Parts: sequence; structure tokens; C-alpha cells
Amino acid sequence: MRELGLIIVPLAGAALAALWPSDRTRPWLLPAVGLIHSVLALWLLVAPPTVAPDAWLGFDALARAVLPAVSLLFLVCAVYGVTYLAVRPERPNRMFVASLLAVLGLLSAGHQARHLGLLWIATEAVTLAAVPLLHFNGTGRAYEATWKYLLVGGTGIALSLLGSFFLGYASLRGGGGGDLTFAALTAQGAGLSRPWVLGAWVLLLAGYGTKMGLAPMHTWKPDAYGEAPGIVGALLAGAVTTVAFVALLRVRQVVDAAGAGAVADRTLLAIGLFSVVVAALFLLVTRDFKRMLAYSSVEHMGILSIGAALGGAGVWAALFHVWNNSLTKGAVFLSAGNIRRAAGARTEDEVAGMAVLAPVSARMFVVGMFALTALPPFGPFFSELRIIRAALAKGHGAAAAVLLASLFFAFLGLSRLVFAIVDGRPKAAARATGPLLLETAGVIVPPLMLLALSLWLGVATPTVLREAWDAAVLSIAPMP
Amino acid sequence: MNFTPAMLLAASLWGYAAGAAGGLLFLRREKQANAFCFGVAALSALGGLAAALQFLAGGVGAPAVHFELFQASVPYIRFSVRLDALGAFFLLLVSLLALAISIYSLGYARGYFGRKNVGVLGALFNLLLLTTTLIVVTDNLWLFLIAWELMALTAYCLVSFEHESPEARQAGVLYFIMSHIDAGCVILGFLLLVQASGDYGFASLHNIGATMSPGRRDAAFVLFLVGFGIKAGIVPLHIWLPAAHPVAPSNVSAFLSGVLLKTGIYGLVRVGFDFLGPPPLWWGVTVLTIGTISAVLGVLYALMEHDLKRLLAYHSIENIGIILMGLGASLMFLTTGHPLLATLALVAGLYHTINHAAFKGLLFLGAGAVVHATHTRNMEAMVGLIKRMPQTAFFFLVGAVAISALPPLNGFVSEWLTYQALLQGFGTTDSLTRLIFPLSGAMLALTGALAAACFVKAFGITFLAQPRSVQAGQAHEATFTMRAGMALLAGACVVLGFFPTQFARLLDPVTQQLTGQQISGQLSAANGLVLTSLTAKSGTVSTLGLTLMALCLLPIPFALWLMFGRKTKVNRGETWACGQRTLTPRMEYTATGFSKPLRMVFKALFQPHREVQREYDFSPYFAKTIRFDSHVEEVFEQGLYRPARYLILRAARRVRGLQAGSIHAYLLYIFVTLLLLLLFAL
Repeated sequence: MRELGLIIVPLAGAALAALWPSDRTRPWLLPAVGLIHSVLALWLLVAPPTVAPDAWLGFDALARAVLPAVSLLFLVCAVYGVTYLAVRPERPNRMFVASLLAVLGLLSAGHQARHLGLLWIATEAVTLAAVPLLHFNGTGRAYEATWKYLLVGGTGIALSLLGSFFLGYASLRGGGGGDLTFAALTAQGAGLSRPWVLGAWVLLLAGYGTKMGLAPMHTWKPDAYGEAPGIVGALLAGAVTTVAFVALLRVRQVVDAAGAGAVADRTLLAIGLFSVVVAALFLLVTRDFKRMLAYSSVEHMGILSIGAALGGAGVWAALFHVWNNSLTKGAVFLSAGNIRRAAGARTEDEVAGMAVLAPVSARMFVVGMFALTALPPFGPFFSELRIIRAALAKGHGAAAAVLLASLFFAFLGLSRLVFAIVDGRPKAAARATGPLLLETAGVIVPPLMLLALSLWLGVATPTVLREAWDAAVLSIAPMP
Repeated sequence: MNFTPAMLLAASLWGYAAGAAGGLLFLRREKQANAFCFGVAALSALGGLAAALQFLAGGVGAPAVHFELFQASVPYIRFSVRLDALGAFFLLLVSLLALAISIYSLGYARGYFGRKNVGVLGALFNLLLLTTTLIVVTDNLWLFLIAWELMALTAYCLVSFEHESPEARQAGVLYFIMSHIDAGCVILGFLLLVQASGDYGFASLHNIGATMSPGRRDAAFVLFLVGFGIKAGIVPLHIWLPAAHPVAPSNVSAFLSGVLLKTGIYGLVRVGFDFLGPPPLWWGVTVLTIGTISAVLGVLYALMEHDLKRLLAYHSIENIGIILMGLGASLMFLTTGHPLLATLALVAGLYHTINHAAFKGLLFLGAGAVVHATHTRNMEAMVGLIKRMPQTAFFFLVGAVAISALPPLNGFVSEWLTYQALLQGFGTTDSLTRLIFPLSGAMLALTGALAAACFVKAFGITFLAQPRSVQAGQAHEATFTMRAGMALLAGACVVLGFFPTQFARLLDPVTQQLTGQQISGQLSAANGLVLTSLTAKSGTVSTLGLTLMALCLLPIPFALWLMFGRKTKVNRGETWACGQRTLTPRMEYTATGFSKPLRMVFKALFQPHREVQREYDFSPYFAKTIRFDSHVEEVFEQGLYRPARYLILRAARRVRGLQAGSIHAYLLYIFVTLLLLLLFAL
């Protein structure tokens, strides 16, 4: 029942938000629902329910290993959202609040889906529900970004649907009953028709990879992240992408059972490495600090994909990295949102000296950047270290070297741009108008909390999380 | 009550932590922050110094001091401290410098009152001392790496402390980027070791290289050489050093040059002699070669500098090179089976490590006092400070004599030991690699001579003659605490120079741990008054004796003057000024002029850029204005870093074209990917 609550409460909240009369009080629904969701998710994390093997929906090991991170990120973003929407009274927020809550509900469904069709429905509903969030600012560029998101994302939707059909057909062709639960597909294992499984894997990888934003299917990201409010960027990068990653993990399990795990790992590794390399190169030259975050997100999706390709230890590290990426990226997006508002511009040509104009946000931005580029003792350092170790242990020395070099260049690109924005003297225009954003507790505390969480994950990864990841790895990629 | 090294060390570490916290408490009260932070740092450093001396004086066989700072509930990470002989030697170095610099800072930081936040400076300074000390005393890999990163981060904050100047910001970022590469290499290197040992304690890593495959061992060595080499500032990984050290506050520069670079040396010694096991020949050859190149190039670039602090920074590269010559030779002797010689070379390297810390710290503190007084780092604008700042000038002179390896000060002793090791190395093997010893020895001699020339310039231009600028004319002597800090290090230079055999005894536990030999007995003759190089046949020297001899000879010219000189008539007259009427300070010798002959000699390396613009009305002999511009570019900056940067940025710009904004292209990418994946998978 609790697991259904994760889905129903946000959806009910979304309906309530759509009916709520006042623009001023409506945003408070966000933290209210977020809090209930987090309490439920953490309760489920500590005391996981038993899931019937043939259930279509359930809080299984994989959901347990990832969903609480999404929930925590949403809670913090919701708290931030209250202040954010209060400083944006000129935009009506009915659609925005309702969509945010709907996204949370659908995400919870996607993470818990144990059925191929249900998974597809939930993830693609998330894609659609996120559309009103992207054009919240109502500018021409925001609509353009939304259109690109829809078109590229829609192609991904189509590909993953086709992939799902392929997988279903592989089951029929192999003599199965066409049961699309992952448990049944895995059980059929080698009985699945191999060519169709491979075709399905490729289509699903391209489809869900588009949603994750793996290069070169990442093209919607820079525009979308650049134009959407910081809070939406944080949720897209930290929560929506993870559901696609979990989907790929679930599909990979089936492919592995069908005896094509090596192919899956090879493709995941190749596409992951390509993503980190492309992202690193983009990071070196981009001049817009919100688009920068999009490329950083591509990089981290690449890291996840590499981790997923490296067997048990790698998957464990990737699950760890999901948490780190969600929380750290959230902190960076929110502080970048503050800086964007305080400066009124987004590129290093127009923005400088933010340490003076928005001192706290600027510091958080710098610290967040360090955390994101894997400075110990923040969480990402440990998860990336584990991924590199897994690569070395698997004998992928060259892959580890490429990854390390890309991480270094990504760091170069990120630090170059971040320091250009934070250091120096404010530009004349900004000095004349003064900061456009007051750094109140409402916009400072949420990113600070996320940074603290990222630090906590690094220095003292809680035992319950380790257990959850262990269990998830056992359930999908048994340790050799 | 008896103080054990463990108690002293723990007190020292907690003291630094308290100092860091105190700085944040007194953020708005600069006077209290100044007194508290640097006072506590000095006391803590005293504790560390006492712990190290007590441990080393305990002689060979004293058990390692082991304790936990506090029980951490975190897996892997243990706040575990284990002071062994090697750690104690570096603790001695860190604490000595920390003590002197903290005392100096009490006066120096007053210059920031009302301008910058002294509380932040004090907190960062204490944090830097804490992390540096932790690095040399911890035996837990995680704690080591965390301290390593925190040290880099703190140092970055301190380098860009005066972030109002773009120069400081750029230097800070460059430093941070290089630290990132360095940390990456070190972490990867340790990862390879840990895979072999399966444990994160240093004890389990002892000699672990012997169990690894040669390929992995060599890979680990290269990673460590690059990682620790960046920190130490070896050529060609040194580019951050001449940028970062000058722009930091001078007390921090002293610590960066004196101590921070040595953490790289510590890492190399720890890894090379303790973890990686018996070295193949090429390791030693590589280290020795890199050392030689660093030494020569460092001093050559130093000669071309007119920025006093940059000049000192380049000398750090030179001295790191000399240290590595000792270490490299030692590794080679270990391979060829000459443990005694290896120990001699190791002693030379370690001795030079602490010597460089002492005199470079002293020189930077002196430079800090000068910059503090004149508000410029440009030597051409200083000139003639000796009359205004006689004591600072004296301390600077002591440092200059020491770094130029002139007897009887400490630089001479360690360079002499290095020579001896290199010269004796020729006979240790019959292969052609032995040629490297005389070659390096010759390069070391060249380095010493050039260093002396450089400090004739640095001291002469900065302190002698008449003031050339208004600020130099109005300079004031450094405050008492600043002078006290300098005096302490000057004293260290003298003691280390006069009593080498006694100091060598403190190194016995270290060499016993690393090479299994102790040679202080063989190094000393005549009751410790004379230093020998293992055998009296190959060479002996006594700095104390040389000094006494000089003192004895001093009366002779005086007596000669008394006998003959008094009758000679002395004429006093104006200096001939080439027909000009008067001499002005503007006509004095400049640093640029002084270094011109060497710039011409090494033209091929420097490729000096020289530009002269004259304006005249009717005849070129009567110029109205002359603009003269001359500078040299670093060969690595020009030939290595800039092309690499250019290539990578060009690739990045090419890739950028992918994100052209056309949705057609974006959809095409997806289908191309699909196609490729299908081909790849099926």
C-alpha cells in the first residue's frame, strides 16, 4: 500500500493543484506532497516490502536503491520552489505546480514498474508532463527549447516503444507466452529469440538513452536546461534521467539472461565513453553556465552508462553515482538558478564578479562545482573512484584512461567557466542595477542541504544504502 | 611531567585545528585573529618540532609512534597517525618552517589590517599547516588522500588570497588545475598498489611492488613520478610554480616553497624507497636526469627574472632538481647493489631537502619584508635597501650565501655530499650508464656557479647602491616579529652548515628504515668536526674548520695595512660619468644589464625577445624617447603547453559544430547512432 501511496499522493496533489484557486498559496502544495513522499520513500527504504515476483508494480530492490534519492531531491526542490514562485508572481503557476507533482507521481511509477509496457507508459508520461515546466518562462527561446525537447524526446519515445515490441516479439518467437514482466522475460532467458533481443536492446538503448541524454542523443539537453528554471533543470538532470537509467538496467538484465550480456556491456561502454568525451569537449568551449550544466549532465550520464557496463561492482558504483549525481547536480542547478536571477544573464561575456553580487550562491556554486568534479570527500569522488577501480579490475585499462582524461578536461572546462563568473568585478550594467535577487534563506538553504547530503554520502555512506545497493546488484547483475 | 612524541604530535595537530577554528571565530576582529591564529600555529609548530626531534634523537630502533586522532565511524577512513623515522624527518622540516613563518606572520599579517580579512588568512594558514603535517604522519591511505586534496584546496585559496588582481586569480586557477592532474595520478597510482595489497594501511603497502607485475609496477612509478613531480615542481611539470608562488602573501610563499614542494619529495621517497620495492635501473636514471634538467633550467630561468619572488620560485625548481639528483643516484645505487653509496646519496638528498626548506623559507621571508616595505616585486625599482633595512639585508645575505652553496653554510654541505655521491658513482658499474654521473656532476657545478651569479644579482641590485624609486627611499625596517622569524631560519642555516656530522646522526633512523644502513659514523671524523664521504680517501671537508681558518686569516690583511698601508696617500675624487655632469641613481647597474651576458650565452635556449623604439628630432644621437622591451619565454610554455592547448581547443570547437541548433541534424544523430549500434551489436 505504501508503494502505491508514492504514486497516488503526488497525482492527487497534482489534481488538487489544478483546482486550487490561489496562485499565492498553491506552491505550498509542493513541499507538503514532497514531505509525505519522502517520509514514505525513506520508510520503504528502511523497511522494504516483499514484492510478488509477477507483480507489475512494486517497490523492488532496484526501486529501493534509487527512488529515495529522487524523493529527497524533489523535497528540497519543492522547498526551493516555494520561494522561487514567490519571486515570480508575474507568471501563473497553476500548470507549473500541477505538472511538477504529476512528474513526481509518474516518476515513482516508472521506478517501480516491473512490466515493460508499464515502464514505457510511465517514462513517456513523465516526458510529456515535463513539457509545461520547460516553457514556464514563456519566452520565445523557451518555446523553441520545448519544441526541440518534444521532437527529439518523441523520437526516443517511438524508438523505445518499438524496442518494447521487439522484446515482446522475442518472447513470442522463442515460444514464450508474451508476458512482458521483467521477471517472466528473465526467466525465459536463453529461450528468447536472440536476434530480436539484440534488436530490442539497440532500440531501447537508443530510446531510453535519448531520455537519459547520452551523446549523441543529448541534443535536447542544452536548450532545455538553459531555458528552464533552475528547479526544473535540477529535477530533469537528477530525477527524470535516472528513471531512464533504471529502465536500461532492467532491460539489460533481460538481455543478460538471454545470453547477450556481453554485447549489452560493450554498447553501454562505447556509448558511455563517447558521451564523456563529447561532454568534456563541449565543456571546454561553452560560454553559458546553464548550458554548461547540461553538458555536465551528459558527462555524468556517460559515467553511469560506463558503470553499468562493468558488471556487479560497476553497477553498484553506478547506483551510488545516481545518488551523488542527483544530489550534487541539484545543488549546482539551484545555485546556478540564483546566480542567473541575480545577474540577469547567462554567459561569461555578460556575467562576472558574482562573488560580490550573490556571495553565498557564488560560493555554493564553486563548492558544488568541486563536488561535481569529484573532489574528495564529496560523494562523486568515491563513486567515480569505484567505477575506475571496477574498470581496472575488469581489464578495461584503456577505458579507465579515457574516462580519467575526460574527467580532467571536464574539470578544466567547468572550473574555467565557474571562476570566470564568480571572480573578478561585476560588469558595469550589473553594478548599476545591483543584484536582482535577494539571497533569502528560501533560496540558500535548499542547495546548501543538497551539498551537505552530497558530503555526507561521501564521508559516511549510510549502511542502509549500501545494503540497498547490494540487494539491487544481486537482483539484476549477480556478482561473479 | 614527561612529554612523549605522541602527546606532542597530537597536541600539535589539535592546535592547528584550534587555530583554524579560532580564525573563523575572530572573523571581525583582526587583531585578536592575528594574535590567536599565528600564536597558536607557532605553539603547535613547537610541539611538532619537539616531537620530531625527540623521536629522531631516540636513535635507530625507536618504535614508531602510533595513535588514532579520534575514532571515526566511517568505513576505510581511519584518523590514524603513525610517526616513523621518515615521517619524523619531514615533520621536523614542516614544523621548523611552520614555527618561523608563524612568528614572522604575527608582524606580516598586520599589513592586511583594514584591507583583507585576517581571520580568513589565519584560518587557512592553520588548515594548510594541519593538512601538510597530516600528510607526513598518517599511515592511512584515505586520510592521506583527503589531506592531500585539502592541502591543494587550501593552498589554492591562499594563492588567490589577493584575488582582486587578475594575476593572482589566473595563477590560482592554474595551480588548481595542475593539482587536479597531480591528485588524479597519485590516486591512480595508489589504486594500483591497493589492488595488490587489498588494504588501505601504509603498513600493508610496504614493499608491495615486489608482488606486482613489472608492467603495473612501472605504471605506478610513472604515475607517482608525474603526480608527486607536479607537486614538487619538476621540469616540465613546473609551470604553475613560478606563477603561483609570487602572487601569494609572502608568508604563504615561504611555506609553499619551503614545505609544500617537499610533500612531493616526501611522496616520492615514501613510494620509491618504501612501497615500490627494489627499483629497476631506469627509475633511478629517469629521476637523476629529470633532477639534472630541473636544476639547470631552473637556475637559468631564475637568472632572467627581475621579479624578486619569481626569481626565488625558479630557484625552488633548481633546488628540487638537486634533491632529485641525490634521490635518483640513490635509486641507481640500490639497483646496482651499493647500499652504502645509496645511503650516502639518500642522505645528500634529504639533507638538501631540509636545507632548501630553511634557506628558501628565509629568502622568501626576506623578500616578503622587502615587498612589504616597497610595495613592488620588481627588483629594478627597489635598489639600495641596505641602508633602510640593514637587518633584513643581513638575513637575506645569509640565505643567499646558503643557496649559492658557498661554505660554510648548509647549502654547501648538502651539495658537497651530492657531488661526492655522484663522483663515487662512476666506479659502481661498467655499463655506459655510468657516464650519467660525471655529466650530472658537471651540471651540478654549473648550477652552483649560476646560482651564485644569480644571487649576486638578487642581493646586489635589491640591497646595494642608492635607492632608485621613491618607495625604496622611504622603505622601513621589518617589525620585530618578522625579523625574529627570519633570524630563526638564518640560525637554522648556520647550525645545519656548521654541524653536519651531528645532524647526520638524526638521519640514521631514516636511512635505517629505507635502505637498512646507517652511515653517520662513517661520515664523521675527528670527533665529528670533519665531514667525510664514507672514506677519508675520497674527500673530507670541515665547515667549522674553514670558518675558523677564515677568522684566523682575517687579521693578516689588517696587519699588512698597518705595516705598509698607512704611509700611502689616498686621493678622493668624483666617479667619472662619461662626460655627464652628475651621476644619478638611474644610471646604476640594472638586473637586466647584469644578466645580459648570460642571456647572450644561452641565446639558443632563451630566444630573447628584444624590441627598441627610438624617437628623435634631427639626429639619432639625440634621442627624445627610447622604449626598450626585452623578455624571454619559457621553452616548455611555448613548445609544449601552448600547442597542446591549441589542439584541444580546436577539437572542442569542431565538436561544437554538432550542436548547431538544427533539429534535422539532431534527429539524424539518433538514427546514425541506431545504425551504428545495430552494426556493432548484431
